[in-house]
Amino acid sequence: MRKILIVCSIVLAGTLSGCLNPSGGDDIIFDPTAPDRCESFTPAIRSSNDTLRILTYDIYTLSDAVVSEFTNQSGYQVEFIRTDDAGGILDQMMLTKDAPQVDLMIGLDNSYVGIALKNCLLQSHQANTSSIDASFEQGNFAGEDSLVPFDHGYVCINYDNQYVDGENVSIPTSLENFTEEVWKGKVAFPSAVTSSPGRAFMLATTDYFEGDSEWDWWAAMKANEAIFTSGWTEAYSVHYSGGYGQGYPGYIGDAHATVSYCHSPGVEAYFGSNWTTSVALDLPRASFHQIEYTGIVNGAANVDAANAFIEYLISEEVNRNMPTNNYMYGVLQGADLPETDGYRFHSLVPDEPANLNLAELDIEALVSQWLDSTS
Amino acid sequence: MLSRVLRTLVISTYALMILAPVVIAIDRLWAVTGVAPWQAFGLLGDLAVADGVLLFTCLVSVTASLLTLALGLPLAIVLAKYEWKNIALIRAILVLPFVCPAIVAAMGFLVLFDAGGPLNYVGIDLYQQSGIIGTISATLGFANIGHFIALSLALCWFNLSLVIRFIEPTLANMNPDWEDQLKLLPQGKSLWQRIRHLYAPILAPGIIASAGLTFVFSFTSFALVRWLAPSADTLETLMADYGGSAGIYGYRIMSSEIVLASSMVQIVILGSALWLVSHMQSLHQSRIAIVAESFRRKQQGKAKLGHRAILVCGVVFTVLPLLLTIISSFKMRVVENGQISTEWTTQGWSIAWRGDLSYAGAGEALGYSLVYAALTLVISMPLGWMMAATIHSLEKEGKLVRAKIVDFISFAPLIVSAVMAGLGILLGIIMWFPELFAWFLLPVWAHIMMVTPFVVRVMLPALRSMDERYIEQAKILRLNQFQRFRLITLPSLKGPVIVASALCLAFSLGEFGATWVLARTGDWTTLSVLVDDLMSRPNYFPGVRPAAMASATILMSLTLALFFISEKFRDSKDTGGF
Repeated sequence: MRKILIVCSIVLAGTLSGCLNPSGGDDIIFDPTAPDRCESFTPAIRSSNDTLRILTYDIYTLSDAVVSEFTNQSGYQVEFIRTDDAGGILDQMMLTKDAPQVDLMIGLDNSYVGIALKNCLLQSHQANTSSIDASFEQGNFAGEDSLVPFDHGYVCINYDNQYVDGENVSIPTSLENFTEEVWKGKVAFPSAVTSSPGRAFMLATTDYFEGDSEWDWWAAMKANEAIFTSGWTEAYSVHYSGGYGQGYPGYIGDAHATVSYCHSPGVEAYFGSNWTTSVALDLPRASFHQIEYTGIVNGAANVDAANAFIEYLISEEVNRNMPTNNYMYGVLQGADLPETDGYRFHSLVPDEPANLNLAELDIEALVSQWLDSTS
Repeated sequence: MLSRVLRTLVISTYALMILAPVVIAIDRLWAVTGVAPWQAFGLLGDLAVADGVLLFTCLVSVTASLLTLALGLPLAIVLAKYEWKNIALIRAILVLPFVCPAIVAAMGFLVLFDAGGPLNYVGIDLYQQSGIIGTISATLGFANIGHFIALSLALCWFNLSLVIRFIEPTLANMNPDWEDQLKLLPQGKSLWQRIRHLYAPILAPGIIASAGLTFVFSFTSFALVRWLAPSADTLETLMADYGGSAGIYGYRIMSSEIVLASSMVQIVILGSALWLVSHMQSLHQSRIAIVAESFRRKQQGKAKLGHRAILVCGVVFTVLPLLLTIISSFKMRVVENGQISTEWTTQGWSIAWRGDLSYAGAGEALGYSLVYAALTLVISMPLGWMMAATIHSLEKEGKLVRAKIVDFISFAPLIVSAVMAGLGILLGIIMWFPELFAWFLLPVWAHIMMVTPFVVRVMLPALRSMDERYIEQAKILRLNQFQRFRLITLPSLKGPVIVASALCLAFSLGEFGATWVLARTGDWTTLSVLVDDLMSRPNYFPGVRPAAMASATILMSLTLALFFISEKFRDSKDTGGF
């Protein structure tokens, strides 16, 4: 028995004395503000078995059939590592940044890619992207040769027009309306910390209130008993009365407005035989144009295969199906939502989405402020 | 007797497998936050997102423990005291929830509490909180009391078997003459006096141990909280939410603080609870030995109507969520002109099997689940057995303190959060074996961590009750160690070995928390992860939910089949608690 205690003590003492120290042992703390950081940053390249390893979240367009077709066409085998959402992709990339274990990421949106670029997590691609609509050559991150957009959509408030009847409750004409008594406890927000749409909408509010009173508004929403959930699913399917949650176990339906995509009512109509009570609210600068990107990971082992997959992802056969497979707009020239069952009719393209310089914003600091305001 | 070298090796391997990931995770979190683990306790109060989480976790765990005792004790009493036809089957049904995968239980309870579900018919609306639940909520000022009740009920359902397993055999083996004799004495005139002087001393250790274990399992529950109380967080779900971004230098330090603080608090609370459980289990074993020496089961005749009603309610409560899961797999939501109705269809099953809405079909997920379960069995069974044998050897040698320490180490995986284990494994892999990052067998490690303590719990009482005289006689007959093992030990322990193996397979099949964390590192999907994936995706298309229920039904059927097989081999004297 003494031997057991000695062995355990040695193991623990070894780790406690050699490993457990606040400086973190041999780890080098990366400085994302250093100007030459990416030139001097050389992550270890993993030993590869020629399988393309893709880090993504649950992107529904990447079905088994779609991936098999890529393998048939290109000869590259594909392996997926999946996280919950865009935030999960960034977390995984940050955690493994010194020894990346994937070749390609698919799904970081424009509210996250700034951090990825600052931390040199991506490298330039050589894929042919000429089929992408020219509108993506403008705006945030347009000149970045390590990013390729593959889908997009607008995030805004959706409301249930069975509740907003124009008589007892009128259609909100400003975000301030949601702080009124009539909306008390009836608005659900996914968290800006743990949800991509939540984060996107939080960013939109900084433009809407011009960096002046957004945190007061969030605090007022908290005081008005707004419902805060960790993810979009809880806000939309459990709390929102205008969404598909009705008729499913666990549905509460206590919120008549929530944050979702401006085309979510279109998706509801598409799957509900052209029927929905959900409406997207078009308020100037209160919506966020979310663009999702793919990019080759800095330190990727299979760069050629990654380039090939990028081209496949923005090909006609895959990208045209984004609205029905991934419930997002495609990025190809002339891409739009289908008209079937009111998909396009019930979807909103905001006249004036938030205009933000995402590369310059310290989004993580904003998230912290959001947390302080809503706690 | 187990050789000292082997004993050292077994405990060191076990301790390393369990402790190494935790030490690595703590090391990184300490480095990232600059907060030492012993200073982290104070952090929890300073973090806004953790506000009220510890209180809610403790409140729901204590409520679930008390509720489990309130429902479990009457069931254990009627089961022990009266004659029942097919008692083995009844017992198996009542114990069934404990081996049921948590994600399946969550699905069943969601349907049970649904607007069109059975509870709604009797006016109990736990989610939209209308009627009596709304009144209670308003009176107490408890915003989501319906969710709290739903979660507490589900946790009670899950742990009901613990009370029955601990209490029923003790009561069944108690000589009824003792109570009759006590009635003649001044100290036993009233029922209260008899409880105080007879029942409490005998049953209290078992009651406290079962309540303690219920507290531990409720405290670390993940799938049930995630699905049944979406508006609330426990320490475990909080860590899962923020665990992904923990341990990264210069990025979202708050996540690292949350995980470090939550896990340290969890380790202390659960460590204390399990130390108490371990002590109470030893006391319970000694009480059982006293009772069993004097008497063997003799029921007090046939049950009266009231007793039957208690048992029927228990069986219905146990079976209902599982039946509802199966039924829901054949029901699909239909929306026509704004009217929502349901239609009966097998579409959910076809979608689930083909994997139309997921990255893997149910067949592929089943394959992964079975491979993981088989490998977990191959490693956990001998490891757990040897741990139990080591504890038993130390007890026989009179080294009771050391036996207790090893016993406590065997419990250790139950106090470690799956998030911490997952983070530690991930960091360790990246540091030392990066080529194993997406290795499809990685989740087996987590399964072994979660399953081995149960093997120890089943094998230890069996080893304690084994008649050592056979071994001594075999030694006189000059049988070598292998022959003694093959001819005496193995046949004597056949029942417990089969029970432990089946539990190993069942728990591995249903394991969700750790796999969910580690599934982020590879291209594999087990059945429990598949159910969660389907439930988490936007359910615009009405086929998603029945497909999730169909996958849950496959998982449930497999687990329950294993369980019923194991129950056939369970010894009637078994009092192990699992």
